[in-house]
Amino acid sequence: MHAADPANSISPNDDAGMPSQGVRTVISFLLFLHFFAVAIGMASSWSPSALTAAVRRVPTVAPYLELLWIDASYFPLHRLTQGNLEDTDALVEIEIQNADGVTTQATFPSDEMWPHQRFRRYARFAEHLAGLAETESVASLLPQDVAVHFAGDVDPKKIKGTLRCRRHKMLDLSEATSSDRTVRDPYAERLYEDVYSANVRQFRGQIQVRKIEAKGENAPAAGSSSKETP
Amino acid sequence: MTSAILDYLNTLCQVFGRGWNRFWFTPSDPFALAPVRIGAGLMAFYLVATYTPDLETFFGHKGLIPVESLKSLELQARNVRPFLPPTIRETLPRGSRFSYLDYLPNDTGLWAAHIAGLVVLALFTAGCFTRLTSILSLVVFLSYVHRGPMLTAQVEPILAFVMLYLCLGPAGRSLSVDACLAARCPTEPVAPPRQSSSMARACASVPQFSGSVAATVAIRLIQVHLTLVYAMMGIGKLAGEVWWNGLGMWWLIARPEMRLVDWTWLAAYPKLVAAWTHLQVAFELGFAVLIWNRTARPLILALSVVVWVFLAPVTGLVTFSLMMLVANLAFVSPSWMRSVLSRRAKSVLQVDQPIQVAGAA
Repeated sequence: MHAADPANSISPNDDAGMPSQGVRTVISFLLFLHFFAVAIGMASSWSPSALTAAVRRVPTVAPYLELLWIDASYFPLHRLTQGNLEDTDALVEIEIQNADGVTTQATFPSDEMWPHQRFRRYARFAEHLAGLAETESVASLLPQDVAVHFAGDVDPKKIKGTLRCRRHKMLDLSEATSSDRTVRDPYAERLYEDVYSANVRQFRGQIQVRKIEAKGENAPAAGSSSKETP
Repeated sequence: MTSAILDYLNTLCQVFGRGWNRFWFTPSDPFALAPVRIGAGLMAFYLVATYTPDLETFFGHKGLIPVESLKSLELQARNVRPFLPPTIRETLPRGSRFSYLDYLPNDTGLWAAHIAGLVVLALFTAGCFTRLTSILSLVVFLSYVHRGPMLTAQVEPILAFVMLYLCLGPAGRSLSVDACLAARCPTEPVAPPRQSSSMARACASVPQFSGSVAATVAIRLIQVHLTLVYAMMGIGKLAGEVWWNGLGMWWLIARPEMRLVDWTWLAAYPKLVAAWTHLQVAFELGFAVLIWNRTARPLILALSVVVWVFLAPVTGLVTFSLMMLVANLAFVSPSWMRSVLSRRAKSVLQVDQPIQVAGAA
């Protein structure tokens, strides 16, 4: 197998077949601008300095990078893991009961999803719920949409339900090699941790989720009383 | 002393200028873009097609991701961005976004747009009206990314830049419907066919092409951007303790929900896990440097196949691994790919004469 090397593939002569110097200058300038913007995108997406953040705010830089989706830093996602809680799996469980007592339950991502890309999309969505859960101002934005979606067209006044997002932590090396089957079970209950729990209720005629304050506390069954944040 | 410095700077500028021109503007074989186009096209088609069962669930009326929520999430996340987990920050809605899926009035329109998008991607993959469909495909793909950014992960940023650069070069000159049509109705003088079937001819080349500067620019852009990605991946790993203490791969192997195969039996061989971890980092950092060495390049490309093939089932990142392999094709010599495909075509079609490869100097 030979390596691709356009510089040597066609012509041994300098300038042979190349565009005119003016065209080369224009293209070179555009290439420079492009890679400068890509570098700014990489630097400002990860941990922006005052300079990179300011350059990104220059008109046309941010729209250029963001519209073309080339502003990724290729850092947090592409390093695959950092050994943090955010690098563990997340799943969302929702249970909604209408006035007739009919209960809708859903968990995503689900093992039944095929092909695997579908599973990964729901997994990423669940990771966002879990990742935003710690930040009060954005914690309930996605759960709200999940609740509205699963409530369907049921009259909001008659809805009761719960929604929770859980992290599924993994075994460490010593647990995975344990002779005790319960210790090396990757789906043992002790490996799950609630990161967001909320009640689904109607409020001013609309479905709303109300985060349950106590962190780590399981969402109670629909209908039971609990302390809620308005 | 001053004149010596000026001489040095003058020589530096001249050498750099010549190197720059040679790197970006030497006309090259557009065939290099064809396998990348097919790979990227198939990947984009697959990614968009897998939205089909969940199209209304995600993007429909009362779907999981209403357009208004994207805007409100983008606005509210602005102030708290530094406090969000980095893996989430990368896939939050952008301030500048465009998706034609935002403007569809109902679910019927959504389905129509979805099918139209799939048709565009299929045409692009097949190399049909490639100049037009390459741009349309980019619009289609980015529309899905911007409509549901929180559904995206590692593969989308790679595919986005590959598709962008394919728009700049003659990606449909070979292995395409465009090439077949050009072979049937040549507009330029064509070398006489030598008993090879029209399909084999179209497969192998387009008649009478000459080197293309646009092909060079497109392939170089993919190469440079991909190198940056590898470098960032490697540097990112160096910033994490688990990639130093040998547990990085374990963190991927042990994720119970994502993986396709259970390799937790490797826990009994911690040194093997550590070796895999260190090799992964070494490969990514080494790729960014050694891929530019002509002698080392085939070895690095062969290693990349091993790395990504092993990583895909363990992490469940199948599309990402495949996309990295597709992007790596930008480094494979077009003449080598031609010879492989020509041999294949000969054996399948039983062409007894060598296939004419016009313009391959």
